[in-house]
Amino acid sequence: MGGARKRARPTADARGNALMDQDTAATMPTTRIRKPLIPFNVGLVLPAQLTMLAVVLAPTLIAIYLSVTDWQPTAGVPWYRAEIVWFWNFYDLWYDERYINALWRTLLVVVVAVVCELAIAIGLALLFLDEWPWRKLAVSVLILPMMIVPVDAANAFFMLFNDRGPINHLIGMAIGRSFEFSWLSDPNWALAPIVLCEIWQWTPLMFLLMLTGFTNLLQNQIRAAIVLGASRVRIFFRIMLPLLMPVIAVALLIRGIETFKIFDAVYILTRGGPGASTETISMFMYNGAFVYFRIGYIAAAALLVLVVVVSICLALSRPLKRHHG
Amino acid sequence: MAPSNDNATAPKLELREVDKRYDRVHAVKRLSLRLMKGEFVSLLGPSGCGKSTTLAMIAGFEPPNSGEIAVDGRRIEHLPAQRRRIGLVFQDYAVFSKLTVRANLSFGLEAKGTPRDTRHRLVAEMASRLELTGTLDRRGGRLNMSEMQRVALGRVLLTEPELVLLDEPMSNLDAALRAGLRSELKQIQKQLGQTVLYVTHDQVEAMSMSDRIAVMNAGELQQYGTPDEIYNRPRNRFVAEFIGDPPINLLPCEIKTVAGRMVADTACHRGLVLGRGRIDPGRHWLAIRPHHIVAAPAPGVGWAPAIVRFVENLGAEHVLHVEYGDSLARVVVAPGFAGEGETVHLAIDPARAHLIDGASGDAVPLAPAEAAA
Repeated sequence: MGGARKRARPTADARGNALMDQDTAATMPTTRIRKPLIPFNVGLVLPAQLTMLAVVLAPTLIAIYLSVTDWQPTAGVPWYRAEIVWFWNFYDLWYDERYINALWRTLLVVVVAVVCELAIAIGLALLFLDEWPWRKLAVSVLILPMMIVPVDAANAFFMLFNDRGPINHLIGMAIGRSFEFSWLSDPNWALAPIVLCEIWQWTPLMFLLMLTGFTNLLQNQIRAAIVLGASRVRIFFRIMLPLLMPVIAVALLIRGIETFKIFDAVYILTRGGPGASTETISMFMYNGAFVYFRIGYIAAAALLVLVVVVSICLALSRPLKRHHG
Repeated sequence: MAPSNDNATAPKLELREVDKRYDRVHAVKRLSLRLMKGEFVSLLGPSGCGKSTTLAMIAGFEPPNSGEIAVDGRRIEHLPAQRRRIGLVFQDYAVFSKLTVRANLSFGLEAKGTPRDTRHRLVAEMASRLELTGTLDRRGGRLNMSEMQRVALGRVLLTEPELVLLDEPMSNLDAALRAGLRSELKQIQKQLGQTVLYVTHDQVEAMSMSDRIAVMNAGELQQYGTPDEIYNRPRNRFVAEFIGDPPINLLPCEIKTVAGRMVADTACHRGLVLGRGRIDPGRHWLAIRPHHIVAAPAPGVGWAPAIVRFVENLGAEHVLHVEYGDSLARVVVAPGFAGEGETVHLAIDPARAHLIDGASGDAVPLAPAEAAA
């Protein structure tokens, strides 16, 4: 049957086309609407895509190339003529304690900062679930830190934690004698102001996410738990928190990635010092690339971080996908 | 669940002059209601009549502005919802979607601090009674409607509540499922002797399950009585019109008093003898159910001809919409009795008709007239 149809079709088509040609020749206007060079929808997206290529893909490719060279701008050789060292950069990184330490330190900052942000944000969001006077105004005030330029926030913390700054002054008032402690020049304590600054600035974002999450929870499940006689604590842990899990996962992911890139606070408060005791991974790269000018080596370091971050994200996003699937 | 030895004469739930006002709306107006132990009572009314507000006040989510709510004679208005020992089944069932059926069922018991072993035993018993044993380890979010209803009911019953409130639990189900769940629910309630207050806007649910029905409209209690009373002796125009499917006919009529008896003239029927009663002569309403108008193909004495405008096919019976004066009247007949445009002859059984005061809208009590006839 299929064969018969195949044989029959060409003749019919040929006849049809012949007729069409005669018709169009007689009736079609001489000026045709020209088909656009690129379709409209493609044209809309193209500029953005080209920009992305220019600022993301090209630098990434160059970085991959640089990571297998030992290029240093101070050596007087243009980057495209740099000597290829293949994987020695990665080998060196593996034994570079400063790099490994910076990675672990960054991870510590991420975990401490994000967990604190989450805990404070959930607490605040619970407070803001009930209606009370000036509630809307209070929300606006609470989210102010988020609006401040990170460098300014860091400068504020720099002043707060100064030797003779307000923090020391307050501690002095609390313990009843003058208190002086150089927070930012003590290797054991210098990370604390950095983490505090991060928490202060980004808890508001977490708070907004949690508040939206809580207000969108299924109210009847909570009411049902109330009439079943459950206490507030039990309702929170058994009903509200499990329902909020997807929102929490997204919030952790967003803030985790953001905090991993922490730079402003470190740069303003300590520049990674004293020594390298507060050097996070982005500070390490800044120092390596723009203080010691070891571009090739740092490109390799950056690539490794990229691989680590992307795999963590993929691992975290899998349970989310399962939730929606 | 277990019968307690409370004073049997005290009502299980009593509302006394309960009043609730929001900014602009007077939601519930001085509502008084009593439920006896083991009774299944429906709170029936159209949307916005105040029935859900009433439920929220009993459950403890809304404080009344005035009035008293008492369970077993003890007042509970001041108690928080957690401590009222009142079970509530929500419109959407509100099964805890992240918890298993087992955890859902034992939730109330855990909150009460029931020991683990007792809890397990009670949950297993309830699960087998509600045929949920097979689903015990499934998440609440993965249940069908029937299972959700049973879980919602089961977890409430396990806390041995003084009474169970159900808030339109079937309003978002399709018709086939409703009939099944209705009988299921009624059976469980009977087995356990549980006092139930059931809020609904569906008269079929109220009529089929209730021991008594409280009809509400615009925040006011219209009538409180057994389904028979509500159906056969509606107290006012609202109840008469709200109950019954197809709806009751309200025929304008002229009332005269002849030899102590009230006689009604409608657009088509004259001299309908209603019985003894008190009403000002003049224009009133004669309310009669479509089942109580008799139709015949040929005329007889006192029968009035009417033209069929259209026919509603209900399967088992047909509803004729016939011209009656300026309006249409509904008459229930056997299928195939008459078609559109045909003329039928109607008779009204005055004994089944209700007289409704044209001014106040209240039904006028009628004494039988056979002595004079």
